[in-house]
Amino acid sequence: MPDSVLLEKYRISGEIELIGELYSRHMHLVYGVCLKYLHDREDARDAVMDIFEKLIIEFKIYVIRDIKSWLYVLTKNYCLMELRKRQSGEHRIRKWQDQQPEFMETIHELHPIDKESIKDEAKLKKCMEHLAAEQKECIRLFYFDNRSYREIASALDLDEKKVKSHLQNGKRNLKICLEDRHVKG
Amino acid sequence: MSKDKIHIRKDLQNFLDYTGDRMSDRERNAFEKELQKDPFASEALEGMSFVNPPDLASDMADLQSQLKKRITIRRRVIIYRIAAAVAIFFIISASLLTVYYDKLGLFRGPVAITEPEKSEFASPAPEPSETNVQQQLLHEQQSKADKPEHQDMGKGITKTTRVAIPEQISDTEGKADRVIISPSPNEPCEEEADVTVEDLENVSGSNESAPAALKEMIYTRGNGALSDKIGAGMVTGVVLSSENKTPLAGAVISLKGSNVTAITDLEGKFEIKAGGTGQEILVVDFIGMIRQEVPCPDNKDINILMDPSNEASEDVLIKGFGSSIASVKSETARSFQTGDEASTGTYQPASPADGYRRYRNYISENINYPGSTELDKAVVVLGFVVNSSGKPEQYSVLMSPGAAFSNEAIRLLLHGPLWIPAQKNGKYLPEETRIRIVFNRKN
Repeated sequence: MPDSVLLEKYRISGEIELIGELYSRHMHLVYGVCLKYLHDREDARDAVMDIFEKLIIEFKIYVIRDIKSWLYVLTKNYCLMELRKRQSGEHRIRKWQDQQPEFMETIHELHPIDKESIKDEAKLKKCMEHLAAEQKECIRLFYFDNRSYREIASALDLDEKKVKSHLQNGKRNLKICLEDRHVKG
Repeated sequence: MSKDKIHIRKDLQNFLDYTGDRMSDRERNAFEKELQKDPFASEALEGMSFVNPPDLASDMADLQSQLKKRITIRRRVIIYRIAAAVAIFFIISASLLTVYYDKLGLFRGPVAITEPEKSEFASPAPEPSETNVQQQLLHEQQSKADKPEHQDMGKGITKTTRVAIPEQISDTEGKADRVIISPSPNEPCEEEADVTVEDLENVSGSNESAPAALKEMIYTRGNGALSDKIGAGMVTGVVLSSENKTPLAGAVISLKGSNVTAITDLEGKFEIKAGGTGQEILVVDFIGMIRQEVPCPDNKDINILMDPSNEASEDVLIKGFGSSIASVKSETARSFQTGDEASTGTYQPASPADGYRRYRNYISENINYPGSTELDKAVVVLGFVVNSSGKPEQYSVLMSPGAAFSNEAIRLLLHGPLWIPAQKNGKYLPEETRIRIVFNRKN
């Protein structure tokens, strides 16, 4: 049963098992993100359960199109809020989040290079040439030679984190270039 | 459903295999490509890498069983809630019935609560002195209204103003000579009057029979106490940048060791409730500037110069301010009246959604120094509004040495990470935010 069907059933029946089933599919992601921000297994586990409690309520209130990305933003906001609470005891993010459901649900759009088929290959090649050398090399190895981060890191003698950031920034620049109508393939 | 379960396990298994290094490089690349498509999964992996894979597996099993427990507890809670609702319903209906019978006089239980209070009014018992003062006043200025109302009035004022109106008010306010105040020395009259104008309004408003003169008197008192309080401790001043002596809007001034704060307006001006003791210290903060601590002056007017911070990481300096400053200020002013410091704490300037540190990293990694210039350092200040979906828009260049710098700064802003808009009381505030981008030749 797809996520959206489960959610629809829950909205009609209010049976918590359904939401439990839905949540358990993505729980490892929620847990991972909580770990990343809270840096503590105990806190992260508590957070996963707190977020579940929130879901029970919020799934009823809001119409959700993309459950996964919605859950992602909810998780991040929760963690941000926790961190803020630790720092200053303020709850400013929570209030914001409660009143701005449409802000939370930004549909994630795939980067052109992550799509199955690339529309304008010539333009992509041209745009690749505009990139900084390291960004270009990382993108080439990762997307065209199918190398793992680790392989690229050792090939270019870089830190794995640096490889990821080159990929990220390279992709951002690539996207700007691809969306620029003046650049022709 | 069973198909899904296999799918879940496989998804989690991928994470376990990846962190546990049980994948070939081709498999790693395929998984990494999936992560590139899915920021949720990619961040989750970052978090999972803090934990040993076996621990991760046991944590997940633990969470699954916790989830099951929660669901069963939840179900029980619902049943309890229904039971509780029924019980409350019975209690309420029972008590309503009791009251109803009371009124009819059919039921003689523990009733007649209002009687003793009435007898209090009837006997001219010695009241606290303030009340006496009020009563005197009322006698002098109004003789037609009946007695119980006088006492109500006196009581009402006593409650809201809480304590005596000090003599100094009659000194500062000319109109106050209409008011005859004679606090007896043995009464606790010297406490500061905690007067709230609104409360006084309520009192006078609720008592329609009170004559206009009396209302006026009440206002005079309220304002007298207020202006007296501000006059004793307001410091005003201007915060400027030492670089080019331009005013800094949105700098935060706070009184050391207290929660009294103020924010500078567009012209860098501020007003803060401080001064008088000669020992207070003002702390001035502006992102990207070195924190300043200055002794609170007696002359009540001060210029504060701030030096830019030289930290390399401080390439991006951001401060929210703008259209809402006026309302923030009035809020602050209100808080003097109500004595409620907390009401100022609900304003939140715009900030990058991922935090300032990451935003700075983004800028420093993506900034291109314009080639067509001989400057070695340049500062661009942009003003913009964060829209309700977190994107910067309506930008304007507030300071820039040239178009090449402005364009690069605008490019960075518009193609950069999202922002959390400014909020007040949790509500979106379309106010202007400023960002300061420093270009250094060496990068």
